[in-house]
Amino acid sequence: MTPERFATLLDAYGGDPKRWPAAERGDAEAYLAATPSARVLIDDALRLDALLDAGVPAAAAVDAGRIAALAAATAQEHPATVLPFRPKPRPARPVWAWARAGALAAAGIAGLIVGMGNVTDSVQRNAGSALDLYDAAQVEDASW
Amino acid sequence: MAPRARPLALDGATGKDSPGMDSQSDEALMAAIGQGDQRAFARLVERHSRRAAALAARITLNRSDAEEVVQEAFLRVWTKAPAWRPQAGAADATFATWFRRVLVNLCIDRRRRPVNEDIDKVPEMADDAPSAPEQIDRLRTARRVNAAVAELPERQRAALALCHFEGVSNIEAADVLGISVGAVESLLVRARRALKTSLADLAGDGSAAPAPGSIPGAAASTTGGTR
Repeated sequence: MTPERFATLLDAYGGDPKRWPAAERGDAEAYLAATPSARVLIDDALRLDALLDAGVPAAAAVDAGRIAALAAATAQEHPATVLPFRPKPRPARPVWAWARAGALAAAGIAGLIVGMGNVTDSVQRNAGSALDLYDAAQVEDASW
Repeated sequence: MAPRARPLALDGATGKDSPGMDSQSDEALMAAIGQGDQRAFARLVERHSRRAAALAARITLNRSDAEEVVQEAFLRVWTKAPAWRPQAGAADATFATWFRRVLVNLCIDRRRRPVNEDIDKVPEMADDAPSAPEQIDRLRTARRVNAAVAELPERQRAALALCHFEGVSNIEAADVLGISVGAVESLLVRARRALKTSLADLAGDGSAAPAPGSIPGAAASTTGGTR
């Protein structure tokens, strides 16, 4: 804690250690204990603290109970704003929509069957080619 | 439509009807408010309205503005609660910080009106009020202090209200104001130096507002400071 930093702490936060930043409070109090001349700065800051506290408490003129009542009344006037989230309801599906979905599914299945037939033929052909290559490789391996 | 099973009550009966609600955290109440629980809202308003009013009044220095701003802030609570979530590590980590931020921003952004005389008027004295000459001295000092504070830019006043009067940390004040800790400190230094200058005659003699634990005859000027 430098003298400059200590003075800035008092300039900003006043003379009461409770208001000093927690991270620096220990260092500042140690500095104060070790530096008798710093007491002058503390007293000066405490004097300004006391003046601030001597101001008319602004809250004295404000009726907190009235505010609370008005806030409550205002909230009651805005019920829609606190509706909990609900998923938007979907419109009921008409019967023809199910029929259309069924036709689409049937077409898909038919396409799948036809496609599977082609794939089976292709796999068999490709499998034959792969076996030919394997046999050729076996022949080459045997030559090593 | 909206789940409005129970009427809103802001009187003392609120707590009696739901004793468990008093022990609920602000964040738990916000979750309930998000589901449309008006009693939870009433409890939160009851819990925070006084301090909110004090903070708003210290920044706006105008009673009407302060009341409007606090009402608006609570309306934001009501409307934002369904989507509000405490965010660990974020600036708005807690309800208190988020709410202060909403409130202070409303105070700063409001349509500015002149300082209301009401706020500068003499508050009602308590039963243990001091003698008449002493009261006059105090009120004279209070008026001077209020006038000096009113001359500060609003962000300086907000920083002062948060750190001096609300007792929040510099880190939370930075979160509330949306600026760095260093910037908060700078606002505070400028505010306090301006006040010290404008109130030099009061601070100098030490009689109008004796500092606790003060040493008579101590120097009245801070020589240090880097900002």
